[in-house]
Amino acid sequence: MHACCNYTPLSTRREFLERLGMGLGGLALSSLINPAAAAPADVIPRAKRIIYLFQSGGPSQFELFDYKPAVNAMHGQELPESVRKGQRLTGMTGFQNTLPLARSHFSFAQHGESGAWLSELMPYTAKVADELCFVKSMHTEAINHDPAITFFLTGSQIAGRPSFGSWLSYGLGTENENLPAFCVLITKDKGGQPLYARLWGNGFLPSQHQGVQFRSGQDPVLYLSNPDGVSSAQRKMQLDRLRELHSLKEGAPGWARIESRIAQYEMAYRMQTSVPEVMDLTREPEYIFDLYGEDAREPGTFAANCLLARRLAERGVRFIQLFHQGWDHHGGLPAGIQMQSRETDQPSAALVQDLKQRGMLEDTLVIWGGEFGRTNYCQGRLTDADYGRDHHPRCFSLWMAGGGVRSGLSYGETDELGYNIVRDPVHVHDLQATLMHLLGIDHERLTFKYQGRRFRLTDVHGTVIKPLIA
Amino acid sequence: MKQSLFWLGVGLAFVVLMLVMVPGSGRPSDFSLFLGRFHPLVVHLPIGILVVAVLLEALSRMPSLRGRYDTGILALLYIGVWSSILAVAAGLYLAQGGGYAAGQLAWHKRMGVLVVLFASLAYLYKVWPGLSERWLRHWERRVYGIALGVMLLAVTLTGHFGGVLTHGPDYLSRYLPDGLRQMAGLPKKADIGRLQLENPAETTVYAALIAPILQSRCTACHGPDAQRGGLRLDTPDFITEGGDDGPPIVAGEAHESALIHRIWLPVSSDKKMPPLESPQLSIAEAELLRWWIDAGASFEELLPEVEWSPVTQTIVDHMGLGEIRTGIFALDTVPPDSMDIVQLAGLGLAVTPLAENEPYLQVRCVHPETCTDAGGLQEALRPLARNIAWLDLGRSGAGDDLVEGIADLPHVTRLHLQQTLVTDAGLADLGDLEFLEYLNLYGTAVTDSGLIHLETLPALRSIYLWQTGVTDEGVRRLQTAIPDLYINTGLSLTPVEPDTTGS
Repeated sequence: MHACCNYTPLSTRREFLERLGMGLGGLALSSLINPAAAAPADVIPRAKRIIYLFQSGGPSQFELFDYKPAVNAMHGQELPESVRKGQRLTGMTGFQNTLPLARSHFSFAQHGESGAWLSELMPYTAKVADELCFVKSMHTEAINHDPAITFFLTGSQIAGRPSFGSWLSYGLGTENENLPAFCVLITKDKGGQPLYARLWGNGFLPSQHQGVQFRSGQDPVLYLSNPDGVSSAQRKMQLDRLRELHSLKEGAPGWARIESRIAQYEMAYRMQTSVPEVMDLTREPEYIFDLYGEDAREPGTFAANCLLARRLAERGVRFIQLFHQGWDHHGGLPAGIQMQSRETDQPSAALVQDLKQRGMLEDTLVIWGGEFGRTNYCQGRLTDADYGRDHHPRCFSLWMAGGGVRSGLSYGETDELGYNIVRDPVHVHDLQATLMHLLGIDHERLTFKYQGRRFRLTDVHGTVIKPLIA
Repeated sequence: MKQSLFWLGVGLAFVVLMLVMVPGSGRPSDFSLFLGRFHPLVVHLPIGILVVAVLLEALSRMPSLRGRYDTGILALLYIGVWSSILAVAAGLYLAQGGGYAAGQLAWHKRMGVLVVLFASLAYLYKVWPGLSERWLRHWERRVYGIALGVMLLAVTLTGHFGGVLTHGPDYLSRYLPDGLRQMAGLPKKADIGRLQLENPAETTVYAALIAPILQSRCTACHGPDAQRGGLRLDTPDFITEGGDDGPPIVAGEAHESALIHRIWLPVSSDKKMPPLESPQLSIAEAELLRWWIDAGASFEELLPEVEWSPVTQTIVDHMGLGEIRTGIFALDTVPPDSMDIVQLAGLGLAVTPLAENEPYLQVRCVHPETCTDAGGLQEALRPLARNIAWLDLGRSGAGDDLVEGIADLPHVTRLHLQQTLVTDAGLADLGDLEFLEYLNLYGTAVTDSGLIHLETLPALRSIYLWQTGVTDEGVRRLQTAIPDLYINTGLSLTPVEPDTTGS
């Protein structure tokens, strides 16, 4: 072979099988192609898919999940230096000459047999408390939104790596060739911290693994419908010709990328039928809207997106990423978080219940949480009725449900004032490793070679937190 | 010569006397233990001396050297006999201290006495060649040779058992190259210290981890051969029963358990166990015992049920316990053939491996219009029958005729039949799926009478029956048949109090 072409992909058995349209993912396939290649991974899957209810902005754990009576007792007093220990603050409160502790405006109670602590802001979530696994000892490395959310979803604070959903699509493949394996739903009309398409980008993975955003309104997926005057049959013919043209380069350098392009064209064509079907909520019965709340009737709300998430999950989508912005309460926290909770509490709980009655909670992992937590001290002026909290990466809470997660568990513990973790810390990479483990993937082995090194979601970190697994 | 024979007789009588006099129980005096400590010193004398005697005798077989060394051999045998008598005596004192594996100790003793006997016999023939001329005639030379041979063999074996007692059974083979280890039927070097369990899913923690520790560290003195302090630690019953000082363990409370106290005592205490001269517990072994007692000291708990502590997790990970494989994952199933997968995928099913390096597949009917051709589908499933673990026919056109074929998929653990045309008749075929854990029937026409077929499913853990014809009565009946089963019949909404938060 000429030196010029020695990077031409050889026609391997693997390639052959892939071309037959089995829709098998890269990693998983390798074991079937060459069973002797690798040692047993000791990972037995519990879940098939993830619904990630991402709460962008950093929901305050103090008003929702992490009950801290000591903060209530010390309300208005200065955050003791013995607790802070000189750790860095953001530029937003670093200059404040006082850091007064702020009690939660909302009362807490224990719920369910598990006795999980939840605030009065989450009455619906409280009803399903026994289904949930609360992690109170999450911690992250980033202190500002964009690096933190990028870190959470791609494993790196610097943009450009594949998103979690892309890794899963790449690793596990799709179960429904008519829909993307990775779908993204964003609550409409929310302000706050911006979201970028790179948060669901494929990075260096083949482009068919990127997340596809579904919107509310006329065109759920942009550029999917035929232009005026072009019929479906014409579009089909056009794509067939395009495929023939593409195929002229079969086996040539770069063929893998051309193949990826062909796959996307064809997926898009099939989505012309499948997307309207999945987006059509008119045939959902009344009791479903009772369950998810009236909001669910209005496309683009968090409630409607939760319902859509269930419909996508039913149709075999691997990773359904919801985003709900607006949790960044530097000031006006009580009013702000109350509104946020009203929008998310009932639909999130409804999703868990709905999945459960359909028998899907056993193989669907639901995650509810943001990119970091908030400080125990007040940002700005502390009054009886109003206060704010700054970003806090050292500890925050989230919950998970289903998919092999241990239900009724509250894992980890923060100190009395909720500033640092005192027991069982869970790093973002640990969470990623654990979620992948539940999906049957060894996070250390799902890698992609790019620019001379093998990349993985958890970089060189991450430990599976076994106590979180049922 | 007669004098030397006399003293030899005295020596042999001494050994016999020692064997009779030294009983196995009772605490030996410090002085006898002190004498015992000379065993390792004395023991190497007869080994070297007797081996040299044999070597010189072998050299004497060369014509040019015939008879040259006879005097020397005679002297060596004489010293060899006496030093071996001393070694045996010291050894018997040493053994009184206890802590040695009974079986190996018995063989060590037997072989040691054999050395004395055959060394003496060889000496007698050497010193008095005509000894048995009358009744053995020309056999005498051979008797001498045989005596030397048996003596040499006994020296070797005594030495070997002695080494095993002192250094542990794998001392010699520890650094044997892997190829030779395999020829000797030993595990590879990398596997030393790793658990080799036949069926870890059904092995108790006690059998896998605890009993081996007690076996290697305790039962030599607290077992079938000796019961120091009236205590045996070789069976659950004996452990529970305890000895003269009561039960050695208090379940759930390691810090109250004498077993743990004794392990933790400083070496200066004569109550320290195992005694100073015996092989000691490793820190990992001590920690496993402590953890096991704190966790309730169960003799029945199975490995898959265990909640490891971080430390014990680390220990058992290193021992190669890994994740306990249960159910179908404990089976030795042949991986599927890729071509069969292609065939199945061609019918519009999504076929994905269950996990990397597992032979099992998850199969899903993607569209309502697929999975209607029961015959064709069954045909395509057949070659993969043993590989299909998760089968999702939910929301498809599957009917009873297809379900009939599922009965031939022995390893199905999760079966989705929700929103299909399946009826009670179809359920009749599912009764033999021994690994079926999950069954989703929501949105089907099944009724109470269909559920009766499921009562025999041994592994069934959860079943989903929302929007079916099943009544409360049917649910009750199924629950009675399988008490641990999770039965979901949909959710009844309880109203949430109106939002009263805020000011």
